[in-house]
Amino acid sequence: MALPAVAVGLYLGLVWAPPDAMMGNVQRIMYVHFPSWIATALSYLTGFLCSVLYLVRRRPALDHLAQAGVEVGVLFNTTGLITGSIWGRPTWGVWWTWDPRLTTTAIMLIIFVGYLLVRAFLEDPDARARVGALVAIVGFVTLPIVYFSVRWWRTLHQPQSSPNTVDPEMVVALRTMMVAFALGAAYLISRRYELARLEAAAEQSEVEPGVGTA
Amino acid sequence: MTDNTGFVVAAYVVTAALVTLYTWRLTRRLKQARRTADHQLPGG
Repeated sequence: MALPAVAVGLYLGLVWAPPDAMMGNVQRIMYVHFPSWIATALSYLTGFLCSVLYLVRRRPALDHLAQAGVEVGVLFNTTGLITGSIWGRPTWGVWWTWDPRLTTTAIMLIIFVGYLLVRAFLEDPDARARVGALVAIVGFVTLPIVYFSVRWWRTLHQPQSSPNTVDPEMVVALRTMMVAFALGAAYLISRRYELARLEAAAEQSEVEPGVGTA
Repeated sequence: MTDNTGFVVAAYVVTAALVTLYTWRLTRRLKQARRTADHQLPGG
């Protein structure tokens, strides 16, 4: 479902929607930049909720889902930052600036990359899940800070736009791509969850020979 | 208004490349993990 939605979204964003009156065609970067953040937020939210639930219920499946959410979140966090940087060069004149929105977003990415590194270094599955859950919870605290940063500190990055202030065709194209990216993130999280589950079963069978995945 | 088509193309290509690369690696790792799991099943 994600692939047809992306195809329709690409047509709407690159062909059907009009260019921006001020920025011209470069505004079309919005159709991959903003949906990247929707996918990031959904993925990190999955990681956060499953981490909280893991600390309460201690079910390995919750840890696997948290791991999947964070990893996919890091992917879309990265595409969001790169497309933002590419958009920044022609509009702001720089690839990167220490604007509060950009800085908080980079901090968020660093924390969640740290989550993946911590998990890679810890060998004990229980410690890995507990420490990972704590890092994911701390990392998720940065998400509302990132969201509100453009309101709290009004600097270079524009605040959130209202759908009422832009061309309706742009809104349709943007929403189509948002749905496509959300579906894509959900698909990748489900695949990554299955991989985490299989890896945990393989790890368990190494510790206790004879234990299968069934 | 200058022509910034190159920046638009770059943004879409980089996004597509990163997502495709991640999906391809994930699919490969998943296939390998399924194969390993099949071999670990009793009688597998």
